[in-house]
Amino acid sequence: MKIDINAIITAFKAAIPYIPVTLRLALIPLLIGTAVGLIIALIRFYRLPILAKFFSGIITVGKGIPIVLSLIVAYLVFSDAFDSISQALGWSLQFKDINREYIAMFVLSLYASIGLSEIFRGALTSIPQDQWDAAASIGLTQVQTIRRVVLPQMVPIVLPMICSQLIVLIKASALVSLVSVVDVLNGALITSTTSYTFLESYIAAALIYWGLSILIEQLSGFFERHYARKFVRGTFV
Amino acid sequence: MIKIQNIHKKFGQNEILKGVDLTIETGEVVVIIGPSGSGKTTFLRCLNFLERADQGTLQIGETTADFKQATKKQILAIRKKTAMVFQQYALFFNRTALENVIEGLVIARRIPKKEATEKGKALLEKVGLAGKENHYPHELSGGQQQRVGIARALALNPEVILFDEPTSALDPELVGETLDVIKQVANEGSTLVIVTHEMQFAYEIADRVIFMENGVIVEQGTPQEVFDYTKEQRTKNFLARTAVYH
Repeated sequence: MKIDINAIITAFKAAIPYIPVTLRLALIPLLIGTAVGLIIALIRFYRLPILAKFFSGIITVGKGIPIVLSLIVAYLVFSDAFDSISQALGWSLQFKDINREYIAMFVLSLYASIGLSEIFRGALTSIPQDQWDAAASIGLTQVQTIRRVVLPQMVPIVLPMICSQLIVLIKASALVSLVSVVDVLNGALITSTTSYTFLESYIAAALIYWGLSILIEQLSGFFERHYARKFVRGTFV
Repeated sequence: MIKIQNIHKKFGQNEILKGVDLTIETGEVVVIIGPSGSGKTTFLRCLNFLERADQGTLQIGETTADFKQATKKQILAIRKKTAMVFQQYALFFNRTALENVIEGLVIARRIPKKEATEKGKALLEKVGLAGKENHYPHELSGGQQQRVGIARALALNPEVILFDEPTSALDPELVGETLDVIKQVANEGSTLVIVTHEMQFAYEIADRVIFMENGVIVEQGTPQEVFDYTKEQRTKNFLARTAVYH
């Protein structure tokens, strides 16, 4: 088998303009997942009645479903139900006008929320009890304690895990081809449809994904070192 | 004046406090001694609601609270009148020494940051930590961290400061500097309740020594009464087991 270097370069060049799409598909769900995940984690940490049980059930179910599956299910449900719901509500919006990216973002957000809620829950329990006690003893309320003491101390714990979650999302975003969104992978593959240089296109896409992952890891490392200088070193018993 | 009546506390089936009564005068230094598991620390933690007692009442100055029924508001009111120094220092490790000291002033008491900073700096100087304002806890020794903890408690001008075994986690050579600071605080007329295993220190600092065992106060009195003219056999047994105390 011969590998056509030129085809790799062509595919690489064709894929590069789609990096923003891939990043968007990963970063927006990451942001939504951070907010939702933190709320779920706090609800479960405080064992709020009903809600805590509800989320713990949802997370068990959600964790067990492959992303591909929920992506396709979401797409089918949307394509089937959207027009009739839209009509019932009197919107002029139709399914064909909806950007498919949103469906992908929706599904990836759900995954990010589940994954990040577990990360935050773990981090919450790792904050020593005496930090809570000390905050209470100087008269801080629960909300003040979380905002001023607990969240800042969670940052260095969760940062590396959030970054690996971002890398997971970037890779998962490659599945959006199933709902006909053009991202880095699809962008690279388009060039091979006439020349049949599929392997070369996949190699080109892989190089871009590698590059993105390495970049994120480096950024994560930079922030970790920043926080280590500030207060982490030697303080977690 | 602090008045504690009939505190009961259970952890599961295990009754830790079995009805403790105590009245502490303003400016009094009360030292609680006793074997591990006697309920000393739990008693102390109940006084600022870090532990919720099952039964009993608490009065600090004009503020009263019933342990069973206390609302969040009452709990905050009690906490405003108390401060605590912890065994493991419990400094916020995301904040510098100075930030640790002024956190309660700025956030809980809403005192302007400039004013709080001045007060915080003065307090750090008082506990012998001038120049360490911008150090994070991990950059300080155990003794220094504990002195920041004391400054943090002092900053709040509480009616009573609770010390939970303030030197138990310290290396022996660092105990002295911490005890000296506590003595200085005691001499300035603050009301202190101290749980400790340092008998010599208890003897020197206390106005009143309380011996607790199995969730009740067994014996109390001046240091001389408790250490030199011990009445109760249980106290004698305990003192015989602990190191030489003076």
